[in-house]
Order: sequence, then C-alpha cells, then structure tokens
Amino acid sequence: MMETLKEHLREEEFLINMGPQHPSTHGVLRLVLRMEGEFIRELTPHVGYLHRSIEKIAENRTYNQFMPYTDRIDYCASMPSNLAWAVAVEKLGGIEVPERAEYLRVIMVELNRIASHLIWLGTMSLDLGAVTPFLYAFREREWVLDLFEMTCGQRLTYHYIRIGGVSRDIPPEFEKSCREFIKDFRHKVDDYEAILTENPIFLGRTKGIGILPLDLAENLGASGPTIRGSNYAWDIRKAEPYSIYNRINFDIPTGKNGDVWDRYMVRIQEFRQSCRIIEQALDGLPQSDTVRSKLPAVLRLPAGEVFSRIEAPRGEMGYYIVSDGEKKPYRVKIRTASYGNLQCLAPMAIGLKIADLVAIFGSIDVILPEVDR
Amino acid sequence: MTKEEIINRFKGKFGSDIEVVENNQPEPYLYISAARYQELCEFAKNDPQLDFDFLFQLAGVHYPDSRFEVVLCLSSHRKIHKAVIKVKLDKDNPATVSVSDFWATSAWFEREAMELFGIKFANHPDPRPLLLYEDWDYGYPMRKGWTGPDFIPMPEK
Repeated sequence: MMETLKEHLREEEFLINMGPQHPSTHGVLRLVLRMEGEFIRELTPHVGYLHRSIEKIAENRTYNQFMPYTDRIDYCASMPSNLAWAVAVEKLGGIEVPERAEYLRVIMVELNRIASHLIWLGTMSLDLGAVTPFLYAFREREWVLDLFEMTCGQRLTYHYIRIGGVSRDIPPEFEKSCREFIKDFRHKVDDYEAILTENPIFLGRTKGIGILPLDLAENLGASGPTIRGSNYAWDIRKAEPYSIYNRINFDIPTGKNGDVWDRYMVRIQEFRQSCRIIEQALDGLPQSDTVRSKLPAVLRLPAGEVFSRIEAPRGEMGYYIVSDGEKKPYRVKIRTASYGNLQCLAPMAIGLKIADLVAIFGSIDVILPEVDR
Repeated sequence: MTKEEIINRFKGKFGSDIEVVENNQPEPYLYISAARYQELCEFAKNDPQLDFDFLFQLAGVHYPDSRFEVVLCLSSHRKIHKAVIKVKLDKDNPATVSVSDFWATSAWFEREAMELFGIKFANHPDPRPLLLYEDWDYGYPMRKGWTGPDFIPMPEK
C-alpha cells in the first residue's frame, strides 16, 4: 500500500514567492522560499521596494533640513530616529543641550518605544491568529499619540527633537496625563500577558521556534531585543549612556534560548522598564525657560567625521557623518536596527514551516523603510 | 580599552601602515593601507584584547578628486569600545576585498556599496544588487556628481 502511495507522491522542491504585498510581511518585503513540502529549505529576502535614497537626499539638505527626513526612516519610532541624528550632529559640533530638553527627549523616546512595541505586539499576535491583543494595543497606543499630539501637534512624524534641544516645551497638562497613562498602562501590560503569556496556543507557536544562537546574532549584526532575547544584556543606554540615561535606574531584560518566545518576553518586560524610565524622568524634570540652545540659523559643523549610535526600539540605530565644513553634510551613512535583524531571518527560519516563518518575522519586529532607506 | 590603547595595539601590529586621524572624538579613527586591510580586519576580530565582535556598519565615501573610501565602524560588546577603520581606494577603479568572513553582516553593506558606489569587493559570497531594481542601468547614484535621466539638481540660492 505504502509503495503505491509513494509512487504517486511528488517529492521535488518548489519555489514560493512571498510578498512584496503580503499581510504578514509588515510592509514590502519579498521572500523567495525554496520549499520541500511544508519545510523551508532556502530563504532569500529581496529588499529595496521602499528605497528613497535618503542618504543622497541628506547630502543636499542642511543639517536642520534633514531632520524631518529622519522621521521617515522609521515611521513607527520617529522620536528615536530624530534623536539619533541630533546626537550625532551634536557630537560632531560640540553642541550643548539644555538639561530640561534632555529629560524631555528621554520621556518622548521612551513613550515612542512603548508605542512602537505596541504596534509590534498587535501585529505579531495578529499574525499568530490572536485578534484581541491587536485591538488592545492600538487602544493604548492612541493615548501615547494623544500625548505626542498635545506636545508637538503630530501623531506620526513628530519632528520634535531638534539639534540642540527640542522644538517646544510640554504643555502644562502633559505631566498629569502622562502619569495617568503610566499608572494605567502597567495594568494593561498585565492584561496582555494574561491573554498571551499563559495561552497554550501562543506558547506552542513560539516556544523553541526560531532559535538564534548568540554568536550568530552578533556575527549577523543583530541588536536590540533580538540580541537580548539570545541571552546577552547589551543595551547602548547602559553600555554607552547618551542623554541622561546614566542618571536613571532600569534593568536590561534578557531571554534564555533566543527563540520567538524570548524575544516576546524581552519586549513585554521593556514595556515595564520604559514605564520606570519615564517616571524617573518626570520626577527629575528640571525647571527651565529654555528647551533649545541658541544656534545659528544655518548650522556649519567643523570639518571631520563622527560615528554615533543610540538604542532605538528595534535595536542600534546610528549615523556616520562626514562634514567638510559646509552647511550641508558631505556624506551621511544611516545604519538602522532592522538592517541587521533582517539578516538573521534566513538562518532562523530554515528547516521550519511557513507558519513558523511568520512568527519569527513578527518576533524580530522588522520595519522595511528602515532597511531600504 | 581607551583610545590610545586601541591605537597602540593596532600600531604594534601594523606599524607604519596605520595612519591616525587627529580629532577630538572619544573613539579612534584610523587609516589602514589597502594592502593590509583584510589582515587588519582579521586581527581586529580575533585579537583577544581588541575583540571587535560587532560590525556596526560599513560605508562607502566618494572624494571625486582623490579617492574612494570604505569606512568600517567596529564595536566590541565585551570590551565596550569602538573604532573606525578606513581604507583608501583608487579613484578610477575602486576595489578591495570582502570582510564577510569575519563579520557576516558586512555582506549586505558591501552589496549596497557595490551598487551605489561601484566599489568592487573580491571574494564576496553573494554579489547581487541589494536596493536598486533589477533593470537599473544608470550608473552609481551615490557617487558625487551623479546625474540620471530624471534627476533635477537642487537650485542654488
């Protein structure tokens, strides 16, 4: 009987094209998969569908004019993208930032980290078939966006952090609303955990899936929650503190095995750490009339070069700037977290099924405009 | 390691092939001669004192009058220090070797430099274009002075 069945079974490998318009690729990523039945044997990512050549644009804009473009590099986390540019330019130009502005920056960046992780939580659980967390996550994100809207008038591309400070002070009602949000949000994280962390279906889809060993993660340029999930406590906020992170107490959550579950747990714990950071920053917020240092209208940096990086929600983000002393940068290289994290996708997914690939892709939280730039 | 210690460690091994860029940045910026570029990368990766286990980024830079440059920003997770390694390439025929044996992540950065700057990387494991579309035939867009069919330069005020 088995012999006759086998004669009629086709065993050859075949190619599947996944994307660029696929609901679970979160943007426009194209994956070419070589399949053997249900199992992935080879995976080739094709990127570049969102390539806008932001690096070339940067060479034709002044340092201040380029700031709004940084919003578009990672539109789910505009504040950290702004901050990375501001920190790099300030490092090369030796520009001082008022202390109140530094605290405001940390508050905004951590709020944006929460908002960005909420999108990840919603979309990843949606990919795994859980619709409820998506609705909850976007409900909480709305509150964060309201806080941003009352501060800078924008809900997606903020352009709030500027070179030498921030664009304006927070309104008087911000602090009360922000503290209420933090208080409320702590309970909401417990709710997410009640839905997902103890859910046997979710556990079955994530535990032991997509294991990324630490040495491979380092070699492939993984950073942020992706490398922390592989049990390595690496965080630029601790290792090379910028802004006022050296005055703030927080922990670096890590995973154990580097699977989808560990990366999930790292981000869930980062929600709580971000709450701690925002509370401390609100407590320490100094009073000051100015939130932006006086700079010339057209900023000229000294000739030279600089390499600087920060910890964005997805991992390490940074710029390498070459200045020739003119008002426009000579060369800007943008390095983003997803660029490294996406390279880890193939080694993690090979040998698993397409359904697992969706879970793995959700867990590394790639955002494509950041890869393509 | 401090900036001076990293510079001395490299100088002890490569001597006059290292040229230090003078600036007031906290991390060292070094030029390495093109001939010993690969050797230096191997040393940076495997030397237990330097231990550069993480390639942050690799970028091409174009100076039309004199040279191309490949710039590596290295970082060490375990020693918590950084360094920027630069190598000067020929202005007409920029070519060097791939360092993806030491940091696999450099493969994508090198593919990007290949299509955007036209820098050749020998021994590259996968030399396909990364970002531009398949039929792209308009040269190397990140080079200075590049123009394409629909390219309108910014008017100077």
